[in-house]
Amino acid sequence: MGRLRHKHVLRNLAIASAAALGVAVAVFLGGEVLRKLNLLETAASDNVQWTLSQVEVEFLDLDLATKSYVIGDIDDLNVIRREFDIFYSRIGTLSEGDLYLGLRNEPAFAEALATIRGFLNVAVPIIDSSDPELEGNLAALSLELETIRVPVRELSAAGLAYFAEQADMRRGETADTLAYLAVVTLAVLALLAFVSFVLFRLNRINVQRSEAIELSSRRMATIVQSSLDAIVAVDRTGKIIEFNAAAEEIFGHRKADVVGRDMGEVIVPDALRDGHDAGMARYRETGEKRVAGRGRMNLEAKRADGSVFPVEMSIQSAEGSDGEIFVGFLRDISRRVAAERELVDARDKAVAGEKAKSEFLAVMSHEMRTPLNGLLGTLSLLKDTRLTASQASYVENLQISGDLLLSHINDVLDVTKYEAGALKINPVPTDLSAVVQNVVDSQRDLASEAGDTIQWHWVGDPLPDVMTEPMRLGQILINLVGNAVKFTQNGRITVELLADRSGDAAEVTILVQDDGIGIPAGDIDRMFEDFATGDSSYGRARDGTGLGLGIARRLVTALGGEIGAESTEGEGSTFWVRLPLELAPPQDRDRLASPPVAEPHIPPRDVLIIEDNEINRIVLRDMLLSEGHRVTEASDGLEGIDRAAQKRFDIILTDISMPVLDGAAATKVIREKSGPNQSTPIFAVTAHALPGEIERFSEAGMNGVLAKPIDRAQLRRTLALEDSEPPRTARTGSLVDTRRAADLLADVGPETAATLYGKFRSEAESILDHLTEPGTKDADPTHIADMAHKLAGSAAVFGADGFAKGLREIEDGLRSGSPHGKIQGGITTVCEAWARTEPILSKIILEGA
Amino acid sequence: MTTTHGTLGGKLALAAWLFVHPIAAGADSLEMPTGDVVLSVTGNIAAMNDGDAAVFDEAMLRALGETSFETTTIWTEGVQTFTGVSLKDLLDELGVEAGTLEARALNDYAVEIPVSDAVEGGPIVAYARNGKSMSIRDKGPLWIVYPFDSNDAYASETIYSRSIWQLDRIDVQN
Repeated sequence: MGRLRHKHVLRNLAIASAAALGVAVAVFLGGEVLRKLNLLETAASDNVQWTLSQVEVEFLDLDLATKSYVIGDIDDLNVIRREFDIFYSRIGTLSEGDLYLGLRNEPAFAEALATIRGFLNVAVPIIDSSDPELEGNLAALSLELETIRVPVRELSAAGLAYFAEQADMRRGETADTLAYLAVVTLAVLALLAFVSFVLFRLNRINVQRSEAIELSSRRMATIVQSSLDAIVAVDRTGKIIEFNAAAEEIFGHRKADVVGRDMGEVIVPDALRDGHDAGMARYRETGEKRVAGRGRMNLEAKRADGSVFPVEMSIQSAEGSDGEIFVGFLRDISRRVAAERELVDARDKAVAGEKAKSEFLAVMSHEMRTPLNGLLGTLSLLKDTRLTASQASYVENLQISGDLLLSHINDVLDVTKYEAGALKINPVPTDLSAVVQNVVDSQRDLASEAGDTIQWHWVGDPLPDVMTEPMRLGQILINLVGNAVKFTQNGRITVELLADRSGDAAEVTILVQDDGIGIPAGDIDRMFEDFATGDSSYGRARDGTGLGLGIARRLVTALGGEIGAESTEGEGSTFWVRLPLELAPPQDRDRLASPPVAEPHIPPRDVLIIEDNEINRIVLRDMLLSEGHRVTEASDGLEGIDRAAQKRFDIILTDISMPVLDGAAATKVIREKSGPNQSTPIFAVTAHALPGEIERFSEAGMNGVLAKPIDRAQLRRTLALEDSEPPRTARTGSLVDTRRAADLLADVGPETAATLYGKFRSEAESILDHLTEPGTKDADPTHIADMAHKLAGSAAVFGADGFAKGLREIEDGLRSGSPHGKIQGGITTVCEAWARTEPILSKIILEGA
Repeated sequence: MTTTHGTLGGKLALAAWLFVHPIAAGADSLEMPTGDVVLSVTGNIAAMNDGDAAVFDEAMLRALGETSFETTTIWTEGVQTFTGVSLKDLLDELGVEAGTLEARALNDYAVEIPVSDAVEGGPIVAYARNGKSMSIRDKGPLWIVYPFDSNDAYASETIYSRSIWQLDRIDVQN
């Protein structure tokens, strides 16, 4: 823009200069021509030819007069005198006049003039003398006259030649001037032609430009009029100067009605008017623009009928002919805003629904597991009774199915926990070698059964301890190795660890390779999805909820790593896990990993499990491995004794009823032999939690009893090697089963547990209000019974057994139409139970959160 | 340039006379010359003193008024002071208002001068140059001189040709 303007200025300047030059030349030449003309006009040239010829004429007159007198033709001497005077005067003119200055410089003329003047000087005294004297001298005068006859002729001839020459010269000069004038005139004409051309071009350009401007302004007007967005332009005082068709439609004003009016008055909602007016005032005072040029903004505008609606707006400022103008583009976004609101509502509902579903799933799984544990425990008790062969087989099938069901439920719990965000990773210093060794050890028996060999090794230097969660890492690897074992027959399974270490960080890759049946290429990506269970799917880890690899993927992601697989169908598969890990600080490296639990810190233990039931053994082993312990397994008492003789264990867990040698007998042998485990704590793992049995175990040298089904808290307490409690049976009739509350907390995660507990508590308080309020007896007893029933169910989830029992009694009373007083007593009991239960549960659930 | 006219009374008298006798004739309207006649005017004139001619000696011309100016001429050297009666005064005296003057010189030079040349500040019939009467040798006794230096319009050949010296006769023609 500036450059363009600069160019224009330069061009205009050039044209002006050319024009000025042309005018100057024209003026100069005009002046010159006038001067020359003047010169010609005023040429100080009398009729010189006449004058020169007159010299000769007057000489002849004088001569004639003289001769006439001598011969007597005239008798007046004054005639001679007058003719002399005239001739004298003529010569005087030639001698003095400025006109003849140049001529006098001609030698021939000068010489002739001098001769004539010489005659005159001689003649004057004669002419001026008296008549007689003059008469006497006339003859001499006549002779003297003869002497100048030739000079007089020469004088006039020289003069004529001179003036002819002068005239020629002057003509030449005039011709030159005219030629010069012609050239200059041509030049001026050329210049004028050029200037005309330039002006013509400029004019044409201007015409084109103005046409283009006209065109673009018409186009702009069309754009403005046909824009779907409202376009409102105001001048710097806020008066509307443009209001397009869309604006008419959106605001319901007609353009003619609003042009010239204050924009604030027309389209700004009353609530925003003060702000708008203040903004305009500020702009007028300081030129500060807070809205213009700030891009899109969402505001509200007012229609002609006063209704307010949301608009998306953008304002730009531009230079108008009368100073700055503002152009606003406005779009009615009522529908969009409404749609967005609906979308947000729908999303909130969906999120809430999803959360409710997830909570439901968590609670259901938990609820299913609790009775299932009871079922499995009872089954294992049943197994220890005397059974026929077919009964034993049925029980075995029941046991397998039950264990599978339990494992499925655990999977579902893991998934929901992850989805609920309850899966927290607590990195502790961990020896990767130990984790992998435990996993491999745990799978060795299964591998043997399938005819597989299993081994692991580091590729390159082993890493020192790293920061990770061993329990979760173990869970991932058990999954992968378990899959490999399951899908490989008579093959080889290799676990390789690779570390790419840089400083205090390392990227660890764990490869689980097998040469089993492999996976179809199309299934590999799908395998890590939930419930991706094809008939022969690898994803069916742990006998196939289809969640195994999905859980592994979630756990790897939670640990910040990646998981993947490569496979060739029929040749084998390689699963890999890549984890970015930090090295453990040196001072922590001698302390081995332990699971992050509320219980006292338990160092990893070397545990010997003696258990004939394979499934029980695996469950227990997994539990221990996942807590970071090292496990050695024995399938009967005799094998247990052998293992115990080979190395020292931190603790030995043994089943009681086993073929070959039972647990009590094996314990006795271990205690009596002076082997490495003579004083190792030995615990019975049994459902025979009867006092008499416990006594027998103590006599055999056992340190305590772990009741089946084993829960983690109990196992941890045992592994902590604290003084073990006497075996605990389910204490019916107690007020709160804190174990259940704690299990719920662990299973669904603190957040979900807190949410559920919050609901439960408000429901409880609400129903108690109902029961204790005076209007109760008028309320529909069936409705209250329903409420009590529902709340009793919830109470059971949290282990609030006393409270639940009271509620059920009230429910029964209401439904059977018991006397009012009896129900009243129940209500009092329930209230008391709640008053005692609530602090206990709050402490467990909320402080655990 | 200084101009001295005749007495106001004389002029008024002349004007009155002209008013009463528009086409007056008779020698009694002009004095008779007492010295040598230097100029004779003939033709369409209102005042005469010698038959149908008006003749003047130098004294009569001097009595008609004296006008002087300085100028250079192409025929002389240096600035000259010319003194004489302005042509306008002369023609007024003779009652000439229009027409052409045919002026003749002693050397038989003749030239036509339009009466319109006779204006205030215009040509004079000079009888003195540089304070002295002019002899014939000195382009006298009378010389019609235009104030060349004070008016560029007079610097033309036509005007130069009208600058007649050794003037002795004027014939006024219609």
